[in-house]
Amino acid sequence: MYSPDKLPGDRPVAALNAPKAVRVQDLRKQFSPAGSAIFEGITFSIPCGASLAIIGPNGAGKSTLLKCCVRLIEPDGGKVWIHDKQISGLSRAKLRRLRNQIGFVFQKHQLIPELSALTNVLHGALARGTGPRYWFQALAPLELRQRAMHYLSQVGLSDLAIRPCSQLSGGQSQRVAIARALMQEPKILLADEPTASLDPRAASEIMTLLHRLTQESGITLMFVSHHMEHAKEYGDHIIGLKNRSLQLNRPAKSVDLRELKSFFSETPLYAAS
Amino acid sequence: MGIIVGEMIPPATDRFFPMLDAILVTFQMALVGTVFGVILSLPLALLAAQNTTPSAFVRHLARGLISFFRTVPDLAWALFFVASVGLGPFAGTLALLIDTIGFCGRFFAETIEEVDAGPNDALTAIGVRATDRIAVAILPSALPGMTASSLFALEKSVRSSVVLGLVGAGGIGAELAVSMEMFRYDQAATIILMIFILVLAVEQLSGKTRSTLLNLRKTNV
Repeated sequence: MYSPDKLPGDRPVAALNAPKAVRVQDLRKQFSPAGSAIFEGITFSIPCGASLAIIGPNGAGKSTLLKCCVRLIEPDGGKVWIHDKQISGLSRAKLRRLRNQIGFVFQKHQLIPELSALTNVLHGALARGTGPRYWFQALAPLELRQRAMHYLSQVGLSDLAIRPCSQLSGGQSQRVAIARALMQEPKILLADEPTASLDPRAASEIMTLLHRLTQESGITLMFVSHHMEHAKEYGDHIIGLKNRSLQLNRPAKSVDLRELKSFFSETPLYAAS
Repeated sequence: MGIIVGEMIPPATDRFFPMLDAILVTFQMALVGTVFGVILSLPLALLAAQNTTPSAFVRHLARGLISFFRTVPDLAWALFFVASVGLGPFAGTLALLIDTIGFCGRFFAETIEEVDAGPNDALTAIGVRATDRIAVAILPSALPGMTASSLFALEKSVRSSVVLGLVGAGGIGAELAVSMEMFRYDQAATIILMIFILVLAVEQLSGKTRSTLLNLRKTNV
């Protein structure tokens, strides 16, 4: 269970020296050949089991960076390693298998509104299996349904398991999306502004939940956030994108909130085209 | 025209039961043609839709085939199948099947393309196979639209199947043609009334089925 004494700042130093879950070197992305780069020369790494916060002003390329890490957007230069495997040369089939180990929580939950919360959670298992028994709760074997229920109860929604997702609130939907990501049993979880559409209270609840569950399962967490408080509280490490480059790359413990706020104060030179 | 209408009243009932058999055959042709047409439309629509096709070449090929089926009139298909498999309801059923593929193939593909891309992208991001993504993220959202198109196709087939009988493709159309050629406008009136009742019944039934399915959609899956 979650306890305050397990906050990221108190993690043992050994965890930070652990093998790298994600390693990024000289990453570059531009959307049009003639245009300027969104970012370039991005280099950072995350130890296995740690959490990394990505911050930066609007249009700095935070979401693009996150997506480039798993080639949901193809980078235009540089290298990315996931668990020491370079992903740039991977075939479509190998890339798909690699993505099976990487969960993704989106800004908008991206659930299937017609289907129940339980069925949506069940879909997380599609990363590791295929076929009709993973499609709908009615076709799923007992073991799968129990596992999906377990994750739903972890996010506090077991009583809403059979409710269609179209009838859930934004916060509840995001919880279901987290349960779906956990059902996948990923080694790395990427979260692209998972609290962007939520009110401050729900946003804090979701971040606490996400952080607690990933810590308990030893999942590496990379999240994009506009909330400096979240970045500081839930990130072991913070990287900041601004003016096309990485302008902050430090352990969360060594950065104070004032410094983070000043990071946002200047108008970004770059605006995504 | 007034004389013909005058001769239509009162409608004749002397061939009521053979006519009833014929209208039943008409409905069977429409139903079987539509059901098989809908079943065959689905894979073709998946190949034709931008978000589910395996390649642009396949998409254009599937779109071309659907357009071809749709642009050739059902009467022309009926003539072709009458020449190919002989007179009777089988030729009519095949004509309706092809016509349904042309109709449903297009609307299914458009419905599939209109499905919110987000859930599909979310499953792509975690490496879910295309077949699984289609089954869970595309079809459940497209199902209400596809059901509505299928029911419209059934209504369309029932109306078409009457005309197809005129060219020898079976059903009540053949009875209507004979009655008109024999100047038995009173029998023709009975047939027209039967056709009206059938079309109305199918429209009512499809309307009710549509609303029932939409209500079912609101419950969990």
